[in-house]
Amino acid sequence: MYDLFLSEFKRFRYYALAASAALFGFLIYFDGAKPIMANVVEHVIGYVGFAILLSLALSITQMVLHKRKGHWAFLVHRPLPEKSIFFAIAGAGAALVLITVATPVLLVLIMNDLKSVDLVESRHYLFIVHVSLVALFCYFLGLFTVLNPSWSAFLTIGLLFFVMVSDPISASSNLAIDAVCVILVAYLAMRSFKVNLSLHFERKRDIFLTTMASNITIIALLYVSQMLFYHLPLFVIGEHPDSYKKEQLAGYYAQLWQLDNEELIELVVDEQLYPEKETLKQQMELAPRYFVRAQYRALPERGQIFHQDKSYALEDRQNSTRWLFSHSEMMFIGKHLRTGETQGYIGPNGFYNADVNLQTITSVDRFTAIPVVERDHIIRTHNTLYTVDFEKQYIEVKHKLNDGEYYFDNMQTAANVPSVAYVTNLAVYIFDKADFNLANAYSEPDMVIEHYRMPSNLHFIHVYELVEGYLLSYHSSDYFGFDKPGIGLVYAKHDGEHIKLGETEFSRGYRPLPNLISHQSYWMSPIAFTLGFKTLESLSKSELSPDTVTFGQRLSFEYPSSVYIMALLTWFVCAVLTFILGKKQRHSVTKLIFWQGIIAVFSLGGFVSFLLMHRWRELVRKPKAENTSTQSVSIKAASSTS
Amino acid sequence: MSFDTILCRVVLSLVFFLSLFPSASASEHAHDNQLTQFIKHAEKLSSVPLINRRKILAKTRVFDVQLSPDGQFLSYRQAEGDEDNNRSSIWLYDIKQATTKKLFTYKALNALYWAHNSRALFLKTRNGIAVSRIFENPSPILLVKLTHQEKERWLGSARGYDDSFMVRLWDAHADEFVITRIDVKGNKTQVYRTKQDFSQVLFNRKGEVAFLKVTNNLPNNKGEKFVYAVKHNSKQLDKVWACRWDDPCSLRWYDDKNQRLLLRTNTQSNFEHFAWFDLKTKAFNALHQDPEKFADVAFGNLVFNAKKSELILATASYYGDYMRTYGINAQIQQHIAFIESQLGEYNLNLHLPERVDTELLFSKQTNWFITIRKPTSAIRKYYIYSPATETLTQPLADIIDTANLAQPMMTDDIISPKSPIRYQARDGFNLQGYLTLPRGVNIKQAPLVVYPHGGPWSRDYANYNALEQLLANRGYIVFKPNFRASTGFGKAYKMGTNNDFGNGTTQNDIIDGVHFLLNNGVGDKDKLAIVGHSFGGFSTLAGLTFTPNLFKVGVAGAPPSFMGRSAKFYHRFQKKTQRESREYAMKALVVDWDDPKAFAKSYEKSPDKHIENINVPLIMWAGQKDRRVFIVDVKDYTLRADELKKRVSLFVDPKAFHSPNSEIGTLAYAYLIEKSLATYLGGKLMPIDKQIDKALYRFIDKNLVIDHNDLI
Repeated sequence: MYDLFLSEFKRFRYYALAASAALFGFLIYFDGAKPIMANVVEHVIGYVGFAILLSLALSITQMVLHKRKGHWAFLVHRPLPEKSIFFAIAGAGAALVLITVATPVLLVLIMNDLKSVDLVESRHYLFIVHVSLVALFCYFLGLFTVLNPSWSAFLTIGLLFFVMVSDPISASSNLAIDAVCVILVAYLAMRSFKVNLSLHFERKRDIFLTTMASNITIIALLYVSQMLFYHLPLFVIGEHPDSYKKEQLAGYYAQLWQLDNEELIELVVDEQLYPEKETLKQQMELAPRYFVRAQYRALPERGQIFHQDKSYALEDRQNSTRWLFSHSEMMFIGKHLRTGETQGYIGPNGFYNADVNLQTITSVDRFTAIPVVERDHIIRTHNTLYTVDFEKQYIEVKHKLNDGEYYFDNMQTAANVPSVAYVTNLAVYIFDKADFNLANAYSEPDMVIEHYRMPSNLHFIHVYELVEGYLLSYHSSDYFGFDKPGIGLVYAKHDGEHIKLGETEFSRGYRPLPNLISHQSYWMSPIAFTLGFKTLESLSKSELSPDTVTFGQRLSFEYPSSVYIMALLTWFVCAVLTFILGKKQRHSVTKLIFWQGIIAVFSLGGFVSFLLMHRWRELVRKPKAENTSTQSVSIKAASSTS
Repeated sequence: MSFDTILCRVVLSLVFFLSLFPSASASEHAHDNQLTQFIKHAEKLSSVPLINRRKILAKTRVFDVQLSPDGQFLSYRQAEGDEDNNRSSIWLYDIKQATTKKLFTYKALNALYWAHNSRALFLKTRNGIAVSRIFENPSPILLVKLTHQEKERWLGSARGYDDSFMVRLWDAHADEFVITRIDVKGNKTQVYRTKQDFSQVLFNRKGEVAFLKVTNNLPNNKGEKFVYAVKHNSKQLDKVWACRWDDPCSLRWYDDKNQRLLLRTNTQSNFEHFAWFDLKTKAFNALHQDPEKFADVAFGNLVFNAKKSELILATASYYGDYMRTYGINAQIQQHIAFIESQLGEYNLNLHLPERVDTELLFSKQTNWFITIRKPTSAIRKYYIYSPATETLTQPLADIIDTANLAQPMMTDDIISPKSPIRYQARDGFNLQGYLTLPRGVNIKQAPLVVYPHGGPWSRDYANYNALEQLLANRGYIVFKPNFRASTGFGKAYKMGTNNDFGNGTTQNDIIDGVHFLLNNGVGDKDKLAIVGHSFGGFSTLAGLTFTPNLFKVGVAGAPPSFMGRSAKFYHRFQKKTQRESREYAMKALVVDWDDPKAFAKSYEKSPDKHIENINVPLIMWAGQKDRRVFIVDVKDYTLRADELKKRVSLFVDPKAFHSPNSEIGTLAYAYLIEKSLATYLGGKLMPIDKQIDKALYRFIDKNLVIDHNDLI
């Protein structure tokens, strides 16, 4: 086995070396502009992307070469158990992948660590583990794809969705997810490595794992397929709902995209709440509009791997110092850009000289959560803004929220607007821009506009600037709850009066699409995808986000009755078809029941998996001949091994 | 009214009366006597304690009071909430009913205009022009967006359409300006299209464009302003007159019937005045000029006579030492005399309802509106005068008092007195200025601060000025000379510099004023300072450079150090942003920068050339975004001074343009002046507490980029 491992390793070592050198060059090139720990999105994604492609390329090449006529027989008929052969080959491939992908990052991190200008902590080194696991995942995915006769194998690439999660989660969670995915795919690849490569999985465990792993992609592809059977044809004949006129869109959320300001007022404002509706329409005609992001962006987790960092450093350009937040010390540490010398530390209560012993700084003077930095001089925690003056060496509370309130995202500003805004879970805070930027002390907001409602799926709050105040528009596809799109308008006047102008529900839905198109993912896979996958997806999101939906909440979602009927119908049809085809395959009773169970959980996705994991076409045409040929292959394989 | 104020008025009136008699020596003696009396008056006043600079610099919370065109209402603006609130409201006061009504609250408003029909207000916002239909629904509605980069702007209320206003818009497709009329409902009518950029437009009685004023931008121009007649339904422009570069040539009205134009002009005169320009004979007919032959016309009330179908100049006001108002006819003059007898004869700003026929000007229903800005009062006073009953009322007095309770302002009894002075320059030219004296101190031993104004084509006035009062409260005499180049005193006064800036005429005028005061027992010669902004800052630099032993300290805000260079770059900036060339005027007034000899000669006289002469502390202020006096110039000068080991300090306001534009910026500027003068002249100082005034302390500390004077 070791010899096999070694020969396999040597076979590709030069390619691996070349790839590693190329990756190293890539990192060095970009590290010159900004270190990799700065998590410049293009650089990190680029690197991970290369890792994915190279790993896939290696595994596919490796196995395709082995699968050639004559080579496969030579490989599998070695005097070694199948598993050992697999471990030797895969082990060699995995080692090559690790060396190729991990070494450049490790070297660059060590270089940065030694240069000691930028802070390098253990969480930075954990990126090596993460990217290695991503690469291993793709390596085993490639093996699985080539070795397994079913297309389901490649479709397990959907698991990358979990591997590449960008929301801040702890390093251990991140790596655990990576490891689980790697183990899963590696196991399946190992199970696919057999003498007769044309054989599909027989073991129920293997079938279940493959189905589970591939269903994300299957459902996604089926969902996208509506482009082919619905959207494109309708576009071609000019009947697509997106080209509907305003009148045709009445009652749909989509009509908002075509309304001008006056029409918006006409639609939404309740005259009983605001009798001056006609005047408001006139006021809105030329009112400038701005967009304020209203999606929650979670703050970093302590110790998270740096590729999930949303900000990097405070830059003190005047003193050529970069201040980086240390997750271990929970303080900012300043390093001189040229000399790398420590310049000092910043906690929430002040600056500390470089000669201060960090151990003497108590927890009161350290941050209790990981902050983000904005615009080189603002630090934001979940409920406090700090302004930092490097020259005068002080940190000051710029603004603080009450208990229970937290900021959603960074400051929002526009070039020609004399205000800046912060959105919290409870309100929109508007500050005078000049005052906010000028005063190195506490800033009172110019105006605080409480949310009358903070629905999920609210991407932007539209702000219309009127002479007398601001008109805010909140609209979302889930404004009144799941699948209940709506819009609400609030008028915040400069005299302090805040008026709820009205709310409108779009009873006909989000867009004028058939329910079966809008809720396709539900009826295709109500349990596994809609409940299961979506719940798993929510786990990576912060509970503070209004978009986070718990399992219990998801269970309570109501769909149109046609969708439920379609889901049942789909399940029934899939169950029947699976049963019929299974019978033709002469499945055992337990296997038939097993597949019914798969269909019950995965519905259409399970049926597609069934089709992908069986030679059903041949069975339908010549079921008996297929069984004979399969057996003869097995006999041949058996005789060759003996 | 306090005894002191009455005494002051009597003295001043007496002096003024005496000054009417033509006698140079008598006049001089009169002024000298006036000065002596003024000094004695100030010394006898009770002294006041140190007043918080926020209070001194506080602005009244009721402002921009305007009379409606029909004379029945007053509009005014009132600040809301505390000083951090940044909100104001517009109010309407019904004169007859004596009731007020809040129209709406806003955050930012540039200007407010009454519609001719007195039924609406037009509001200039940062996005465009909005209307408030005050009796239907006062909530403002934005009617048109104006893009200032495209030179779109407000042109005024529409003639012939009492519910409309005019704007100039830019049609990017056709590459031309569109003069558009918009009514209160937002209906737009294109009135005229032209590719020709213009600075003013006049309309005929039908509301059609009749005349355009265009600055000559052609090569080798002499800065003329052409007045073109516009032919109806034609793009053709006929030149009717060419105004000289030094003539304001401000178009006011087109008299269709008599084919004449009403202008404010200095044609055929040393002083600006209102005159008719006959389009047929091309002759000027002056309507009224300053009887004292001292000042340009500052303001005039034009009222319409329906019978004669013509506009009549009802009053003319001239600002010499004070604002003086004259009625053009005897009846109006009679009423003015009455008003002056009640309120004092100076600094009355009289507004007649512009849409009331002359026949009804004295009727029971008509109200006249008077604003008074006295040097001894921090708050303007507003009066309604009923000519029919000859009664004066102060409708807004209680409102103003109540509004200002939240932010008390300086009261009349603690304000330092201010008086105009006259003196002669060394070449015999008669000059004017203002003197503010601290209360209850020995004037001869008091430190003196010279405070030249900016511009230099600007002037100082007799009004209350917060910074003057701040300095006076700290114990300083404040001298504000209207040196040659100042406006408002006629052509000869304005052009009297002969390009002689720097170590020349203008600076000599300032220094001569200082010596005049010292010779007349005003100020301690060993405690002199010079403080100024913009051109005043230039004067500061010039003062420290060319009279290095005279002043103990100088504070220069946004100062050019060489007028020639600043004029050249500012002209280029104007051309780029306003697309109007004032090159000829700038060259005529300052220096021809294309003439190397002239440029070099001008530079030779500039403070920039002789920076080594400075041997006293110099404090400089600069706005980071200044587009008139570029910060690179100020920094360059400061760094050179620093290199020469001069005791220089530089404060850079990061958000300011040519002047501080935030409250904290203004306070910082005031503090820097106060601290500098206190350190080197020994006046009083209100220090800044690091904790209580944390924001201000840090703002100053952070932005004091160079400091050799321990200002903080």
